[in-house]
Amino acid sequence: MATTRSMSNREQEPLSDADRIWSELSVGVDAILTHAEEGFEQSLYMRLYTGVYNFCTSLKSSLPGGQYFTPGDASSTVHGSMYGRQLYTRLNDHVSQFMADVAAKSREYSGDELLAFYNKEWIKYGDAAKMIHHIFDYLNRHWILREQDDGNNVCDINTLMFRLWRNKFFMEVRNSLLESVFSLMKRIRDGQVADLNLVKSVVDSFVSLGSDDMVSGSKKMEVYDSYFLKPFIEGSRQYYQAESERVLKEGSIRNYMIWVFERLKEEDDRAEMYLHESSLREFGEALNKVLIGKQRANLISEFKPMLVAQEKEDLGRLYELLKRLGEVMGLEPLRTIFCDFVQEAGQDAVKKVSGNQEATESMANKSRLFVQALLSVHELYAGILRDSFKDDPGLSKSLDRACQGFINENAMCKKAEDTEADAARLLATYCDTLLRKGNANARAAGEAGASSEDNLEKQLAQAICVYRYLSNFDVFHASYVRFFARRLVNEQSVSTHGEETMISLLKEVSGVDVTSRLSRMFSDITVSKDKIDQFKESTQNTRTFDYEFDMKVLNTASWPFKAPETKLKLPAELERAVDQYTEFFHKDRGGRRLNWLWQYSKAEIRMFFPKATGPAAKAGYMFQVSTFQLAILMLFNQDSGPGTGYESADGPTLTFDQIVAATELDKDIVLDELALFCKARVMNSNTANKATEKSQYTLNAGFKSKQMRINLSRAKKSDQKKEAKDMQRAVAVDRSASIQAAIVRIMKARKQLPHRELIQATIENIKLFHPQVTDIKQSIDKLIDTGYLERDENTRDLYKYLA
Amino acid sequence: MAKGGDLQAWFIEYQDLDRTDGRVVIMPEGFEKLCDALEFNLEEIEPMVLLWKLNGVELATIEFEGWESGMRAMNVKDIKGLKAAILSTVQEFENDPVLFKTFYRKVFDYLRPEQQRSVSAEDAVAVLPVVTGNSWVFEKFVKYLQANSDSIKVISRDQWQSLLELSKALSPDLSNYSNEDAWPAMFDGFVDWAKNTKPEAAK
Repeated sequence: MATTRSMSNREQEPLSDADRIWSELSVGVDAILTHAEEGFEQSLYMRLYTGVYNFCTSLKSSLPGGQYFTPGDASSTVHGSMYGRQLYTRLNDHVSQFMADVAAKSREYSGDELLAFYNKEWIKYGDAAKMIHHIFDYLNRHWILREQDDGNNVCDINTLMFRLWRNKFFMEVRNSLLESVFSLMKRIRDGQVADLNLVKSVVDSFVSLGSDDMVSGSKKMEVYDSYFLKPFIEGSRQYYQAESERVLKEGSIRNYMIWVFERLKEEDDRAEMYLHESSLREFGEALNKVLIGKQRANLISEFKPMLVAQEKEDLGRLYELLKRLGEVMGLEPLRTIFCDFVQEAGQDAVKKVSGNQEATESMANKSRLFVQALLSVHELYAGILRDSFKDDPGLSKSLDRACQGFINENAMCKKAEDTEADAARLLATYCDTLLRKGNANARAAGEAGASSEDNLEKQLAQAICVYRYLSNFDVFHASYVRFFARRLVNEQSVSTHGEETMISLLKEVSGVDVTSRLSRMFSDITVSKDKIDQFKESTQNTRTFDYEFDMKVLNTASWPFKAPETKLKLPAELERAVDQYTEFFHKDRGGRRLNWLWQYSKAEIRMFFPKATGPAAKAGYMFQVSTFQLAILMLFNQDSGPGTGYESADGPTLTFDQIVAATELDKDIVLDELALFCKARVMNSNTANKATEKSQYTLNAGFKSKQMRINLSRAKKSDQKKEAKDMQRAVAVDRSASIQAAIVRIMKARKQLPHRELIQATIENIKLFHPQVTDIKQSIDKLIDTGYLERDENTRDLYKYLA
Repeated sequence: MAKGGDLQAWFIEYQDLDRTDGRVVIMPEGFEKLCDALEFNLEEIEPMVLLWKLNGVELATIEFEGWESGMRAMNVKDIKGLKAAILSTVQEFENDPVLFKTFYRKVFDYLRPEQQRSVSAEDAVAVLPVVTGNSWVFEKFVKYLQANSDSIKVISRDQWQSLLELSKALSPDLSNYSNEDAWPAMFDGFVDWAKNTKPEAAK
């Protein structure tokens, strides 16, 4: 029935319209809240949406004066705001009540059931909130937006929904929730089966509830942090505090470690499944603190016993556990202990070996024992570093520091200037035993079955391993180059490939500056071989001598040889070869001078003793002799030989002085060689076979030996001592030069520098050895004296570079 | 007695006239004669100062140019004036360390053989006491050189100059010397020796 509208009727209508629209809306909202998962028809959705729209726009209201305005009118914001606020408030109250009901319902549940209930409601509510937010879209876009622009504390519908969840439901129930979560976690930790996913969804909802701040778009973690994470961490901490005390009481600290290791792994795996990723670190740290941190001292004190017993697995576990405490708290103490321990082990190993007197008699043996002791220690602890500590960089440095310590200064190598007992020299000697022929035992110490080439490579690699730790590289190289030179000229290399391998290994560590010399020496030998072939060819028909003659031409700059310190008058026969080769050489290479190094040259001679019997009578004995020895022996050769009447006499008798005069050799050398000949019964002296300057010498006509080849040329001990001293001197000279060069380099760049800084820079600049402050000071003095540097007039300790 | 104002004539009184190399110098004998006239003791500092003030070229050797400019600089016309000037310079050394330093450094060059960079330890031992009479550091250093005459043969310029600085810086108990400081390397040995040979000095 149509109703005529009077003014009074019109005043009533808007109110009832509002109520009417609202009651429709609230029914819809309830339906969504309770059955969001079921979905809705489009038509309902549209109806509700329109309801909101109508509520906000078409409700009229009257103003004094009989006018009335529609909210659609842009100027009537007052009117529109009234209805917007009304709708907002009604929704707020309605949902509030709904949440309170849910909260009441939740009190029926506890434990896992509560978690399940909460989880279910949470999911449902999430969907519902979204839908309601869309339905109230008009409100969001108009009234709410306007309020926010005005700076009023009004949030959009979605946010409102979650606020209501939090304030009306969550806050009521959160303690019970937490209790349930903890109880569930405890059951899981105690090894029972429980559904971790329940925890996850609770955690998620904690995260989503954000903070009171509505303005920011992102969720703040306040609710999560203070209402979940902190209590959770504290609860976990208490749990593990109690557990660790129990385990410690029941068993050893080793057991404890195993237990902790397992539990931590479990917790790590689990945490990723339910905790928010931002919490993982804090959670992990809390566990570390209660499980490892509290026992730190006890755990650390287990380290050394484990090292002693080489318990790799335990060591690995200990390392992983302490690693969790961080560099400073966890690993730093281990580093110190490890370094000291390895140092001690190294020192002990060398001490044990150095006590073995007879074995250390010869330098070769001494060096072998030394290096093997070093290697055994290094291998052991490098293995532990690799297997238990996973090549941890800090512990690796500790190992290096320890090795540098015990390799360079130990029972065998004091810091004193005695370079015989220098680690670098010993190592070079060891390398010589590996690379020189006739040292089968050195190489036999390798693995059975491996070819000797492989063996050799492996041993060289091990030697390089020790090499890296030397502090006196220059001493090593001075030694090595001398050994190398000997091997080359005496053709004693066991394998060319081995020599090359060694050179390239050295190059890898120390660079090409250091090894280029070695390569040049190598090529000198190769070139000499070619030259000798050429020589033989070109003098095929014109040779002035009739024996085998081999010669190596060496570049003075690269080789550690000096001209012989004694004169020598060559036997005539030898002179012929020397002259002819010299002629060839000058034709071939021009005017360079040849310095003949007789002290390193050798000869083989066949000697026929008049009273020899058996095969020796026909074939004679083959002697290997040095050139000096050759010169002396040839004197007894004059006009001799089978058929020249020699058989009837013992040959010439010569006095000491005659021999010296004829050979022009140093008296000491002659005396030494004569003594050797007498001892070997090659010669007789008329003074009870002792060699003196007053004696007379003849060949021993009745010389006999079981061997057909006899080596009389051996390295004299006095020679060796002298060479060692020469080397020491050379090293000292080179060092002084290196220091001066370094200082000049530094000062050229810096122009002026205070004393202490110059010292420091010099030490850092020199890599081949550790310069002593005294030596640096002396070099500075020298450079001041020679005008490279000067002291500043006013600041005594400032040096200036003089261009 | 030289006639006042005539530096050249005065010079000639002491000049070495037997020379054949054309050099115009006062050589050792002339120098001694001059010192006599001045009543200077050859074993004390004055002759050295005289040499310096007259721009000597070597020990006991003075050339005319040096003589002339030196005399003018001192504003001296006769022997009395010369003596006074020299004595006053010696006095000045007490108050003017910079002046003394210049003198002290020049002495090194007088001792140095022409072609060499350094001074023999022997010469240093002879001259240092003369030039640095009452300084305990120099005294000790001279003893050190004497005790180590087999191993220490020369003193370099830097060591000579640094010695003066050391004498000012070193404390009587030798406690403020450090091997890590910027002293010439030789001083390390000196201070070590000093510490071991004079325990009373170390309080």
